[in-house]
Amino acid sequence: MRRIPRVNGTPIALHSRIIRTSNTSICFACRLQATSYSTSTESQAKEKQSSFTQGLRKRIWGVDNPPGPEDPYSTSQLGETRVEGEPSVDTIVDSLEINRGELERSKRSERQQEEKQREELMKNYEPSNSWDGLEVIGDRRPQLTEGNHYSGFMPKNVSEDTEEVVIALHRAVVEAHALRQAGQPLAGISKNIATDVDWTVNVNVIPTASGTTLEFSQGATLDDVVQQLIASPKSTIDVEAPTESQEDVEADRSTEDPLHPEATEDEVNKKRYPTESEEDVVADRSREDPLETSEGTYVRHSEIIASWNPAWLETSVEDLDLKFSILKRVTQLTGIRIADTAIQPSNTVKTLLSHLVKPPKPDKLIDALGDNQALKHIPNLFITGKKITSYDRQTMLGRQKLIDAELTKRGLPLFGENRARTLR
Amino acid sequence: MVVQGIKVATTGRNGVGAFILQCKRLEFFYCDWAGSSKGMNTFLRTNLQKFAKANPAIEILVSPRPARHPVIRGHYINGREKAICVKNMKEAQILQKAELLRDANGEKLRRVVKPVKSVNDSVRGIWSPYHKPGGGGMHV
Repeated sequence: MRRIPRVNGTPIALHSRIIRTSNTSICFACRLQATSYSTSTESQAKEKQSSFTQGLRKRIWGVDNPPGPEDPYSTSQLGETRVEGEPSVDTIVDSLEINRGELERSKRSERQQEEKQREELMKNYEPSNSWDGLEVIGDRRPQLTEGNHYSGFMPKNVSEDTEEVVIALHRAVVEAHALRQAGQPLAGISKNIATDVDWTVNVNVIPTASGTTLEFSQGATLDDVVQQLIASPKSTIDVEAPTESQEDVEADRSTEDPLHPEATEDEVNKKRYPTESEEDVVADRSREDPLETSEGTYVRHSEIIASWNPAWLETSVEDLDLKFSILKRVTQLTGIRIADTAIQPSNTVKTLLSHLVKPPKPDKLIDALGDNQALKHIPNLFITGKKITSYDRQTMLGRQKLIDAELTKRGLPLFGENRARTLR
Repeated sequence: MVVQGIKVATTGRNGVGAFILQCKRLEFFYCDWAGSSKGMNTFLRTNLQKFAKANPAIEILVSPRPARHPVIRGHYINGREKAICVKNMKEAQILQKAELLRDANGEKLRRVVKPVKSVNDSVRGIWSPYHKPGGGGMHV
């Protein structure tokens, strides 16, 4: 069977073409074949397209021979658009492949070298049973040896007592200003914590227009305060190799009896019901002062705080070095840290104190609302701390007194049979 | 015939001459223990003062209601009450509910079928069987 070739174009267009020929003796299929068959259809199409493109380019450039390739949309002519001196895409890709190969080769050789080294090391390898003698990597902790006590910067327990914090802040303020006045660097404020005597307790901080002045009293001087910070006295306990004379001093101070080291308790103390005279003996031997109670310390703190000029709270801390040194010292003494967002806007000691000493969060909402003084002055607002019952509602309406009067008249209980007759 | 005026009894319209706020009292109930009352507690700590100052004509009562969900109850002039449970709501949502109760009257919530109420005459006239567009209708 004769193969009918494919025809380009729609059937309707083809039919119209056939009708135009007006030759009725030849059959439709043959006429169709004759009119539509063409070997140069693609090239004709291409020529048509390129002539159209050429005409358009001529019109755009306004010349007969516009620059650039004739058909800019043809992929085969991409190479002609290259700038001279620029490498082609193929050369770039080739060079990349070459580089990649070289890189892989170098990596492979490195790996081989590393493996060889590891093999050599593994020849002399023996697993150890403990970590003694092994190299320690990444351990930054200080080596603790006998007689060397590690003390961190901040205390272990954070101070919760308000008065302690106030005293610590006052101390920090005094010390910072004392170092300034003495011309010493502020970095030395946290060098030493003296626990025997605190000279800053007897110092008043008075802010003035020209600056802050320190008022010393009760024997305290600027040198005492500064020396307390700069000097770092070492106790005999912490010394690694004490001398003979220091050993003697320690022995004198020690409470143990070298002749009878085990007999520490007194026989009288062990008795369950000591007699009067025996109680006196115990009291005489005891080191506790009956006049000094635990409440005595509390009173002393508040007395100390009351003795200071209250203007010390208005001391300015706008100087950043001063503020930082004060906060560093307070942190060292109390263990309390303030957030950076709270530090930056604080300009006075009072503001710092408000961040250091925070009142405990109230458990009940009524306590929190009670702290808000503004709510008390709003006339249409009523806040109660107790649940409002029906009794309260009747009382508010004014009916309850009538109810109570009637119940009393009838001799009936107000709140039930078992409860006492009491009006709220 | 003498022209006579239509006798119409005067009816009060709230807001035309004077405006009377229908809500006379708002009660806020909270709980210190329940977790659903967290938003209410925060609202009372932060927004209550502003809300009370902004509405001086409303009596505001705050009281605990232990072991219960937080509720806002509104009392109205017509003697009715409306309560909204504000459990697990944020303070902004609670404020919204408080404003809703403040702006409401004590009427029951009804489905509104005809949203327009007017005393004006109907524009197209009332239907009658005797008149049809384009003529027609009943002939009597």
